[in-house]
Amino acid sequence: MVANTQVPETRRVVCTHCDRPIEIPASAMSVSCRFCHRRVIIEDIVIKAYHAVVRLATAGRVEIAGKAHVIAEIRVNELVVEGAVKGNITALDRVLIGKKGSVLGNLCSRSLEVEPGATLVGRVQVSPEFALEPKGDPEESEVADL
Amino acid sequence: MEPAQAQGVPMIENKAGSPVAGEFTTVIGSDAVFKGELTFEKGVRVDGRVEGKINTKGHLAVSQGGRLQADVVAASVIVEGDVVGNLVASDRVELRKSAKLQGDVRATKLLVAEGATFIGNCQVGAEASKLAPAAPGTAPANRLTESAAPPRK
Repeated sequence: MVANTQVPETRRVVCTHCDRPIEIPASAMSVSCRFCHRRVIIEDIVIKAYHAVVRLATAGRVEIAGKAHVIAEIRVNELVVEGAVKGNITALDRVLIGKKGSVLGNLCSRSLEVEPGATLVGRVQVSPEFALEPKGDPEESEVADL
Repeated sequence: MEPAQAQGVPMIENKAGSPVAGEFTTVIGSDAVFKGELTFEKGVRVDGRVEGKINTKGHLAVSQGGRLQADVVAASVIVEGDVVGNLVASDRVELRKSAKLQGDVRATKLLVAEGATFIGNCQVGAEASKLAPAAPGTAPANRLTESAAPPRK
């Protein structure tokens, strides 16, 4: 009897450390980047309370709920702000600041939506061609893989 | 589609969402180039090129072919063309999909359509409208950027 094996579906995400695109299984929650060998969180995150860290990074989506207060440098694919954020934001896709949301910090993303009533103070860089340059020397990482 | 919209003319809508005809009493034509300081009481539509400063108590619209290299103080600003300069609006600033804005924005509301490009400092919210506008040509005090900087690792 032949086992019914299926090739797992994969998707492409950008490493939150070295900014290189990597192929990962579609259902993965975290992976190890094959270039910089650091752990990359893939899952979506919902923050509902006070959260202060140096860096909040995921290749997925972050939602900051209405009563949440986040103090961090944020690096995500998509960000929804219904609460308060203090820190710089880098989003590869879109940022939505809800009507009660507040962002205090610089923001870089591909698209930005600010609902009436929201607060946004900081330097903004929004462009449909927004992309991150890979960090580090790729030749060193490829040599390490051999 | 309304004839004006078919020509790429930005439409101003009232609170009910209906377009308001005759909102722009002044139009700077597509073949016009103006350098200097402009002051208007009512709405302005820029189809050509303006360098300098624009002050108006009404709405300012920069159409898709318009080129603005000026600091603007207006009630609301709609951008569909290229703008290099600071925008100060007592109500809102709207960047449509063909907009390219390089400069600072201070307004009560900000609308950025998908496809628009915006690079500059931003102060949006109910508190922003209470701040005194920066003098044109000077960089606004960016105390916030210093306080929002991430802590050193």
